[in-house]
This record gives sequence, C-alpha cells and structure tokens, in this order.
Amino acid sequence: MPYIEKIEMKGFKSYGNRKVVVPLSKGFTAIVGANGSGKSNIGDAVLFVLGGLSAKAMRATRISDLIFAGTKTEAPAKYAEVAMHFNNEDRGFPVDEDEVVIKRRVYPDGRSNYWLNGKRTSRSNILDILSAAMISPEGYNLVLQGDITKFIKMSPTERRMIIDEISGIAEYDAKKEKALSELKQAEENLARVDLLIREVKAQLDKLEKERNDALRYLDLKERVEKARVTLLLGEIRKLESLIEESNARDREIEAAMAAIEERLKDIAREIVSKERELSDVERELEEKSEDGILEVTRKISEVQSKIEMARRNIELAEKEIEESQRRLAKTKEELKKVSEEIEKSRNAIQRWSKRREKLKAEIKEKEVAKNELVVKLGEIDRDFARAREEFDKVVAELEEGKKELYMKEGDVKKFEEEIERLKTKIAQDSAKRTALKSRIEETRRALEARRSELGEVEGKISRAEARLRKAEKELEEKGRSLKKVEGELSKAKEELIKAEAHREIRGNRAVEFLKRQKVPGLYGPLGELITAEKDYALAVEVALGGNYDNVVVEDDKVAEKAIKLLKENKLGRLTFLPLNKIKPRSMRGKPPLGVPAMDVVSYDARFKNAVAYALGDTLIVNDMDEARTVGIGKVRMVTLGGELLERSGAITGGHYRPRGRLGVNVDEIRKRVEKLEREREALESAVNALRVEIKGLQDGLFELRMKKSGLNKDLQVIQKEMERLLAEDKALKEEIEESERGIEALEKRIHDAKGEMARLRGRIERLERKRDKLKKALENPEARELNQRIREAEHEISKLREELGKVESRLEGLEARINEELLPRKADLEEEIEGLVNRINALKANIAENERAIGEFEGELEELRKAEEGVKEELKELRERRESLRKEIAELRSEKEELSSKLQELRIEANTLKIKLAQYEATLKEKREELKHHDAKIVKGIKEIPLELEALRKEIEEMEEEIRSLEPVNMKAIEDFEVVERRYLELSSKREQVVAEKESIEEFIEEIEGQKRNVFMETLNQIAKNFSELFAKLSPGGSARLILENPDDPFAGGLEIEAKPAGKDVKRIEAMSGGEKALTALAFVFAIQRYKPAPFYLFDEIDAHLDDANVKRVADLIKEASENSQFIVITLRDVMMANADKIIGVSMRNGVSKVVALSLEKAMKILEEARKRSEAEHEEMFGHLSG
Amino acid sequence: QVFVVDDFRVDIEKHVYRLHELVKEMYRESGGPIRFRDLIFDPTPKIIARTFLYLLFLSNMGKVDLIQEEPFGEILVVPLEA
Repeated sequence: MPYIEKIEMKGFKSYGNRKVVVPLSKGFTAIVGANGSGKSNIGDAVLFVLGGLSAKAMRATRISDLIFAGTKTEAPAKYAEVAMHFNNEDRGFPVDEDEVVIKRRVYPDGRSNYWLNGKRTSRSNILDILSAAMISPEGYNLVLQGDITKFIKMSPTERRMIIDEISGIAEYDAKKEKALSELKQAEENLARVDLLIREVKAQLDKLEKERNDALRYLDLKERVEKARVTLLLGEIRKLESLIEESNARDREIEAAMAAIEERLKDIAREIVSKERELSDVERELEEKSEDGILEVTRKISEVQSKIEMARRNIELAEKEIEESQRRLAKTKEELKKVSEEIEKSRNAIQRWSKRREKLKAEIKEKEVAKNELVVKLGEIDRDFARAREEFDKVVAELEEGKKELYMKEGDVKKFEEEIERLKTKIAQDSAKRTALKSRIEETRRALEARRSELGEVEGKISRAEARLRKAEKELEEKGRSLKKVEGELSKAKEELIKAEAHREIRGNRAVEFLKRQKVPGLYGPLGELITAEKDYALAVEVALGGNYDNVVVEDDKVAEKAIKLLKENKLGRLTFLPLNKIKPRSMRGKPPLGVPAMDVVSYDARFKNAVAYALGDTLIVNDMDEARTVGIGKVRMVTLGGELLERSGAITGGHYRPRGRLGVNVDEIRKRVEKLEREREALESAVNALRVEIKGLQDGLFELRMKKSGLNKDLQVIQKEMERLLAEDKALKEEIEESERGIEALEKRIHDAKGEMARLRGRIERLERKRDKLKKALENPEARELNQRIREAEHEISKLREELGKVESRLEGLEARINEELLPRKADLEEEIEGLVNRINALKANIAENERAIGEFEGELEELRKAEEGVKEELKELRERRESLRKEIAELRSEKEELSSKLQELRIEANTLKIKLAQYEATLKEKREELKHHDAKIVKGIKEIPLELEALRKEIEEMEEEIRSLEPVNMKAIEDFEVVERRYLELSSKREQVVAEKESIEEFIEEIEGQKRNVFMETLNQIAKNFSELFAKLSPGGSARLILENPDDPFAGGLEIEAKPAGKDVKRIEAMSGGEKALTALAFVFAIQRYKPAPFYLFDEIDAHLDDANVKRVADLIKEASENSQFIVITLRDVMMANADKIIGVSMRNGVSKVVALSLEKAMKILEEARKRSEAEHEEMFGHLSG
Repeated sequence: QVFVVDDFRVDIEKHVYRLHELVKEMYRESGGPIRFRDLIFDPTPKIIARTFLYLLFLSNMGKVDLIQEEPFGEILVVPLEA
C-alpha cells in the first residue's frame, strides 16, 4: 500500500516563501504545536494537493486565499504550491515508478495547475490516479478539525453509502444497467407485437360477431315457424280447457252463492245476540263505575283523613306533653325554691323570735329600772307623772303607726312585683297570638285555594257530564242514521248489480267499446238517453225497436271516427245518429186518440232530433181497439201491451221480454251507491269518533271524581286545623284579658295602700309633734336629773322597742310571707304539679287511644284498598268484555259486508262467465281454421305444447324482433372468420416468445441484485462486527451496533448507529457528549480501516473532547492500526504524542510557520545511551555502590 | 495565550516558564546552544513529548529559537532576549 513520504509546501498559507518539508513515514506521526502555529495547515495542504476544491474545507474563503499573504518582513508569495511524495514500491498507484509525486499550484487568480511526477497533467487525471490507489479528497480517512462527528451527523443513508463504496458493489450496478437496457429492448418488442395482436383481434371480433349473427339468423327462422304452430295448438288447447273451466266455475259460483247467503243469515242472528250482550255489559259497567268505585274511593279518603287526624292528635298531644313536662319541671323547680324559702324564713323567724325574746327581756328590765325612776319622779311631781304617762302612750302609738306604714310599703312592693309578672305574661301571650295569626291566615289561604280548586273540578265534572250526555245522544242519532244508510246502501247495491247484469246481457260490445274510448261528441245509445214514464215504458221500448241501440253523436265526423274504430277492432256494425244531419220524423196531424210517443219521454233537449227521428211519428194507444179506431196504417202506433202497428200495415206482437227500464242508468245508480257509501263512511267515522270521545270523557270524569274526593279530604283536614288554631287564639286572648284585669285590681290595691300610707304618715307626724310638746312639758329642773335618767332609760327602751318593733314587723313580715304567700304558693304549685302529672297521663292515654285508632283505620284502609282493587279489576274485566264484544260485532259486520260484496261479485262473475263462454267458442273455431294453413309436417312434428302461451307469444315476438335486428346478414362471414383466426393464433405464439425473453432478463436482474446484496451484507457484517469490538475496546463496558434501517432491503434505507457507552443506557447518538460521539465515530472509522485499510489517515484534533484515559485508548488503537496504514494525527495531547513514532513540531515565528521533526524512537535510544553512558561514567568514578 | 490541555493546564504556564528558566540558565552556563536531549530529565516518551511541546510554545512566544539542520536531526535550543 502506498504511503506519504513527505509533503513539500511553498507559499502555502502560513508556511512562507521558502520551501518547507514535512517528513513523514510509515506508521504513526503526530503533528504538534501551539494553537495558531499552523499545525492544521498541514492537513489543509494534504486536502489541497489531493485536488480538493472546497476552500471552506481548507478553512479559506477562496482557493487563492491559500497563498501566503506576507508579513511585515516578508513579501507575499506569488503562488501556493504543495507537492506530496508517495511511496509506490508496491505499485498501489497505476504508475510504474517507485515514487509518485503529485504537485498542485494555485495562482492568485484562482487558477490551479497539477503535475504528476514532474509532468503537467489535468485535475481529473490526478483524481483518477488517486482513486485507483483508493484515495479521495472527500474520503472518510481524512478527518478535519472538529469534523470527527461527521460520521455521527451524516444521514443513515450517507453512512450506508460509505459501506456501498467499500464493498465495491458498483460493478453489480453496471451489470444491472446493461441488463436493464436489454429489458427495455424486449419490452419494446413486446409492445410492437401487442399492437399487431390488437389490430387482428379487432378484425377477428368483428367477423366473429357477423358469423354468429348469420348462424343465429338461420336458426331463428326455423324456430319461429315451429313456435307459431305450437302457439296455435296451444291456443286451441287453452280455449278448450277454458270452456271447460268456465262451465265448472259457473257451477262453483252457484254453490258458493248459496253458501254465502246461508252464512249471512247466521251472521245477522249472531250480531243481534252480541249486541244484546253488549248493552247488558255496558249497563253493568255504568252502574259499577258510577257507584262502586266512587263509594270506595270516598271511604278510603275518609279513613285516610281520619288517620291523618289521629296522627295530628298524637302529634299535638306529644307536643302538649312536652310542654307540660317542661312546665312541670319549672313548677317543681319553683316549688323547691319556695320550700327552701319557707325553710329559710322559718329559720329567720326562729332567729328573730329569739332576738325578740331577748329584746323583750331587756325592755322589761329597763322598764323596771325606769319605773323605779318614774316612781321617784312621780313622787316629785304628779303632773309630771301624768305627762309622762301621756308621753308614753304617744310614743307607743307612734311606734304602732310606723309599724303599720312599714307593712303597707311591703304590700305595695309586693303588688308592683305581681303587676310586673302579669305584664310579662301579657307580652308573651301577645307574641304567641301574633304567630298564631299568621298561621291562621296561611291556613285560611290554603283552605280558599282548595275550595276554589274544588269548585273548578266540580265545574269540569258538570261540563264533562253535559258533554257526555250530548255525545251519547249524538251517538244514538248517528247510529240510527247509519243503520238507515246501510239499509239504503244494500238496496242500492242490489239494484246496481241488477242493472249491471242487465246491461251486460243486453249490452252491445261495440257500444261499450266506444263508450270506453271516450270519443268526444259520442253520447251513447239512444235508448239510454231516454227516460219514459213508467206506464209507457214498454210501449216506448217497442216503438224504439232497432233504434234503441242507435248511437247518438254530435256530427257525421264523430260517426266516421267511431266507425273507423269499430272497423279496426273488428267489433261489428252500428248505426249512428249525427245530430247535425239526422232528420226528425213527425205525424201528419194529431190523431184524436192516443198519446204521441214524444210526449211521454223525457230527454236532453240537444237530442230532440234524434229522439224525434225514432219516435216522432209514433202514437201510443191503449190497445188494439183504440188503434183500430185511430186507423191502422194511418200512423205508426204502439199499444201499451207492446203490439206494434207500422204505417205499412204490418203488425208485430206476441210475448215481449222487456230489455229493461228505459233510462235506467247504471252510472247514476253507481253514483248513488258511491254517495251512500261515502255517507256511510262519514257516519261510521263520526260514530267511531263519538265512541272515542265518550270513552275519553268517561275516563276524564273518573279522574276528575277521584281528584274531587281527594280535594274534599284535604279540605276537611285543613278545616279541622283551622278550628284548632282559632280555639287556641281565643284561649290566649282570654288569658290576656284576665291578666289585664288582675293588673287593674292590683293597681287599685296599690292605690288604696298608698292612701293608707299617707294617712299613717300624717298621724305619725302629729304624734311626733305631740311627743315633742310633751317632752318639753317634762322639762323640770329637779326632775331633769331624774328625767334625764328616765329619758336615757326611755331612750334605751325606745331604741330597744324600735328594734323590737322592727324585729316584730320583720317577724310578722316573714310570717305573713310564709303564711300568706309562700305556703299558698307552695300549695298552688303542688296542685299544679298534680294537675300537670294528671294531664300528662291523660295525654299519654290519648296518644295510646289514637294509635290504636290508627291501627284500626289502617286495617280498614287496607280492606278498602282491596275492595277498590276488586272493583277496578271488575271494571277492567267488564271493559275488556265490552271491547271484545264491540270488536266481535265489528268483525261480524265486516264479515257480513265482505260476504255481501262477495255475493255481488259472484253474481257479476256468473254473468261475465256466460258471455265469455260464447266468445271462447267463436275464437276456437277461427283458430282451427287457421291451423290448416300451416305445413302439416310441422304440425305433426310438434310433440310438446307449453302451458305458458303468453311466454311463447313473447318468445315469437322476440325472435321476430331479433330476426329484423339481424338483417342484413353477411353469410360470407362464416368463411372469412376462419382465415383471420389462424393469423391471430400465429401472433399469439410469437408474443409468448417475447414475453419469455423478457422474463429471463428480469430474472437475471434479480440475480444481480441478490449478489449485490450478498456482497454488501458480507461487508457490512464484517464492519459491524469490527465496530462492536472496537467500540467495546474504546469504551470498556460499553457496547454499540450498526443497524440497517431496512434489513429486508438494505438499499432502501440507511445505516443507524446504536451506542451504549459504559454504565449508561442506550443513547440516541445526538444525546451523547462530545467525547462519546468522538469515540463512536472513531470506532466506525477503525472498523472500516480494519476491514479495508486506506493508504493513509489524517486526523486533526480528534482527541479534543476526550479525557486522558480515552486519549490513551485511542492512541493505542492508532498505534495498533498504524501497522497496516499510515496515520498522521494532529494533536495537543501529550498522551497521544507519547504514542507516536514520529513527532512533527510546528511553531510560528514572525507570522511564518516552521517545522521541527522529532523521532521519539531515536530520541529514546539516544537518551538511553546517554543515561547508560553517564551511569557508566558514574560507576567508573564512584564504583558500584548499590547493593 | 491559552493552552487547552486538560491534565496539566493549570501548571502548563509554570512548566513552560520553568523550562524557559532552565534554558536560560543552561545557556548562561554553557554559553552556546543547548541540545534538546539535555533538557530531558526523565527519558520516558511522555516527558520527551511534553518537553518538546513546551519548547514549541516557547518558540511560538518568541522566547527561544529552535534550530534543526535536517529532518529528525539534532534540535538545538537558543534563548532569545526579549
């Protein structure tokens, strides 16, 4: 394999004007140097000399920018030149020399020149030579700065195309190309043959059709003749059988009619009995639904309202119990308080009594002392004694008065408290009343609402009842009308049938046909346009004679048209009376006896001439005698008995079977029948509507009655509630009044007490004044001393007395309170408690009573409901019965209807049948005649006669149609077809040959593709295996795979890389770090290198993102790979450098790069030798010291 | 100037200047150009490569001149006065 020996640069980028040589060798060379010193420019030089065209790839804007631009001290270069020396000892280049030198020079104008081994050559020649040595400026072996991830970034398809190139599948593509052009040729041949075949086929198809037509034509001719004869035979046979059938049918109809008439009688009987039953059921239903159900419903609602009442009572009682118990508790509380107070008061009384006794004793003692003094004083002065006595009396009175005053004050206070209590009670009651009032109001409103609703419901009921009565009456009327109409209808129908039968018998087929054609201006047979008075009918009919069937038409043109129609349809002959041409006949002078026929008939004035033509000269006479009187031969005469006396003297007579009433117009009768039917239908629908309405009304009434009973029940409940509320209100009002009266009484008593108190105060004042006066009178010098002492004693006594008075009043007060207030209150309370307890018990009993009542009522209710259910069930049954009866009757009626109409149909059918029979016989004769015209051989040859003549007829028609459509027929086509068919078969076999050729080419292409695929897959598998191994080596513990996007068709998809760096999950390559990407890319590059090494590899700073450990692994791998290929690695990493065989150092001085080359191997050897030498020297000098 | 070399980036300037000092000192002592091999204190590939790289840095900085007569020949180092 060739390798680069050296690169020479001159004027290239930073390398200055002097020639710079970069020595290279086999193995691993590192290019190192500081950033910006020009290391990468060496890589650019390699790209440049290999013929790179992209300035950008060489990190320049234009190719001419690659020329050294000059520095301060150095001039710019005139051109840039790079020469690359390849070792070609193994003749990797197709050049028979040991060294191949490629040189490229670029000038400032961008022009490039190339030299190969010193000879000028072209770029394309250089590229061819390089490509032969598997070198290209875009090759994957050149990894530029920051470009290591290009294998990661490139699309899967681009990545796959690298493998394509390496596997060399291009040769298969060339083979395929050739095969494809052959295929194209084959396809063109095929197209030509196809064109020819199409041409011949079109001809062939046309001839085939013509031949088939000719054959078909011959066949049809034969078949149609045969079919015609068959048809005739068939028709004959069919007619025979029809005649037979008609006879049979006639007999059948007779029998059926008899049976139907029998059945009709039965049905009539059945209807009568069913209707009787229906009316029974209806009566019963009415009774039951009127009384039964309503009664039960009313009872149910009553019981329900009773239950409601009882429940409400229970509720009330419970509430009352609650209230009573609350009151009881309160009363008990109060009783307890009162009892306590009594106890307390009694204790106080005891205390105060003791105090009183003590005071009394003290007073007594003091009084004894005082009396002694008084006695002494009395001895001094009698008057004084008297005064003293009076004074004492006054003082006593005074005390009495004051005591009374205290008591009154106590009373007043008590009364006031009582008043306050009563007022509170009034306020409470008033509040209760207000609440009650709003409830009363509410209840009253509810009551009114219910009442108005009830009124409404009652109104509705009465309206509905009125409507029901009306509807029933109407129904009755309509029913009657319906019956009447039905009777009339059946009569009319019978009449219609008779008339139709008559017409059918009498009828003239020709006239009927014309009538059906609806020719304008054609009015019908004269006989039908005339109505005769009843007595004269026979005479008129005879008088009309043959003119009866004469057809009256507007004018001769109409007549002509009608005649044409008759002719075309072979319907016989008729006489027409054109109104514009017909000449009326008349009598010469009116004879004395008889009536002119014209006078006894009525007709449309338009037809006068026609009628006069037939009857104008005819006289109607009573009998032959009268005729004779008039004179036979004088005038045309008809007797009422039907004898005709012509003017010629000819007399016609005998039994005459009337043709039917003149002017009995079937159409009119039919119209009448239709009208009656419409009427009947209208009546029936009216009756049905009425029935529906009645049922609706009955149901509505029932609903309304139920609602009414419900409302009544509600009303009762509300009313009771209202009454209760009013009673409560009244009780409250009375209580308030009583309280007010109590207040009034108390106020009066307070007033009295206050009067008394004022009186007492006056008295006290008076007594005090008297006492003071008396006191002065007691002023006596001698007695003063005594008096003083007495007074002191008295003062003490009075103090004691006052206290005693207070004590007594207190005692009295207490006693009064106990006796007059507390004890009665206690008694009251006890009484109240007893009353409440009794009340509670009574209420409980009441509740029990009510509950028992509810139980009973519920039982009753249950029974009533059952009864209601029963009645309803009964009603339902009755209704169902009624419905079924109605339905049965309706069914019977409709059956009757049906049978009647069937009967009529049968009658018509019988008549029709007779007419048809005659026709059949005539036709049969014709057909037998016709058969004689056909070839007897054919007639004999026919063995089978189909039953479906219509189909046969149609077949004949179709065959004739086809024969016509086939004409003209090309009989020569039968031979021509065979000639063209041979040509067609020849061409078809040729086409098969061409197709086979084409298929073999296609197979060949497929085979090439298979080989191509195999080669590709082999290469890929090998590289993929290498890749996985190398990745594992570069990223220990990691794994990576190459995966085809489309394993079924590798060339339809790209090649994916799936990498799993150590300790990480499978990563999308985009998500990997720069270092991981670089490792993955390197694994890919080395995988290819291992499979098919390129001559050299240039890596520019592939280790930038790797840590030292990874750089070491990459460096080891490069070292290993460098045994097979040359590696030039631009790097800054010492670990990488340390692994290289040679190091090229680049540094820049004054803007010009220079190169220093170092062989690590050589350096190591020299250093080792130097070390050994110095060691030896050392040893020589100092001896061997180490032990 | 920034040198992007991972493991000894922090010390690189220190190492480069130390080498410069060494070169200057040796130059003072010998008075002539210094042989590259005389700058190697430990003959391992890594140290050789590193020293070579530092010399290239110094040359780039204009501190020393590197002289080589022929490819892979003796490399002589001469300090330059700033």
